[in-house]
Amino acid sequence: MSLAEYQRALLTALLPGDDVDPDAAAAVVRDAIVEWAEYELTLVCPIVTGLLSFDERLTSEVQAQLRRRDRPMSIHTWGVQFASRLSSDPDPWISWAAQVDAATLVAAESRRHADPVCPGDPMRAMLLIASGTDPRSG
Amino acid sequence: MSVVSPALGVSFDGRSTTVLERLAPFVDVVEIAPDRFVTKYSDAVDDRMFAAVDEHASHLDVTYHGVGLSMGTASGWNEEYLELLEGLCAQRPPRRHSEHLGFTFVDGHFLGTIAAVPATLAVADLMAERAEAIYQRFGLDFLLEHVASPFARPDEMSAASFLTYVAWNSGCGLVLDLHNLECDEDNGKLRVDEFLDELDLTLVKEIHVSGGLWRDGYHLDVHAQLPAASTLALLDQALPRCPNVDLVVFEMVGCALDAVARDELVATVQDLRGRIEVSGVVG
Repeated sequence: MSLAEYQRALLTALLPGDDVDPDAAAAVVRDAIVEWAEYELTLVCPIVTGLLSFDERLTSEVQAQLRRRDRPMSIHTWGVQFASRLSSDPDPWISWAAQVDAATLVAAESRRHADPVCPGDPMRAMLLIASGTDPRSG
Repeated sequence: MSVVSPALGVSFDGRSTTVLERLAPFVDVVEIAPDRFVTKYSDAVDDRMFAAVDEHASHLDVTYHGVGLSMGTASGWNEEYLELLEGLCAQRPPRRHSEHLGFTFVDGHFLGTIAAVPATLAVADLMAERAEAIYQRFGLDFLLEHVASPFARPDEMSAASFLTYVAWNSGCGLVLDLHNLECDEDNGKLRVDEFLDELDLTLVKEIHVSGGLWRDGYHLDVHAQLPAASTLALLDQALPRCPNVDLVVFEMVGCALDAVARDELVATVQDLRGRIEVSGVVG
């Protein structure tokens, strides 16, 4: 078995829900990965994960995200991916919460690179601009 | 030969700055996890992380010890991680840096854990080639760490032989993570006494101490607990046998640190200091 073959087999064993019967160790770590992912996504997407948790959907949605096989290392980037997918959820509350979480992460990332010396509260300015008001006029 | 105790370090992943503040007076080195210093790869270093180190530990040396390089991924390491590391080194030059002989990415997907590479001759040659390239690229002491991994692997040689081979053929040193060894022993992967007898202990420059947890019969290396008595006893046994160790690091993840009383953390660090002063061998 080549290194690449071994790694692909392990990846499959560690992903939730695939039709593969992992060995006992892989099954234990696979469940732990889902738990840790839930914890981390709760930190960066608190609103949509909170609602999903009320609906007892959080674990299945985290598993669905893992099965996409495109998880980046950055939890912030993954949070954007997770929330963006759920922004089209048929439940309007989940969709709304996911859009807010995704937008918050993107805004936080962009603000990190902006000049930190802002003449006003950036969040207030964003809300005013979004509502059609020029924040400089106040 | 003069007897000098190894330095004592504590890990910092950016999550618990109050703990860093509390422990900084008692340690010599901060081990930084580069993976936590960015919110997004390919971007600048998040200055807020360094601000915490500068505020609470500006007088301490730093080392960089990550998991994001994924130097064992068959298709290649994570180049973005090395670019991040270059940025960190430029901002705050480290005493050294280190990585794990394992992989966290497969086909671009982050596993959410780190797995050991199989101990085969072909993989050993690949790891030695990559480790030497990183050593040359950074011009810094670069250490390699054995990964605790409970998964079945198509090994052809022992873990100790594999580590010794890679270190000798790359010019790199080794990190001896004692809790990793305990996990592997508990999960039926090796015998710690046999491992230590077989490993070239002159290659070991750092020792890491941490605690994990048990889950469904498996001992997992998640750095979520204080070091167990067995790990501390192993430190007492191993340190005098490693003549080139100049740093012992207490590792614990930030989210777990918050659950431990600060006084208990200080007592742990002071206990480690006492143990390494008794066993100090660098001369």
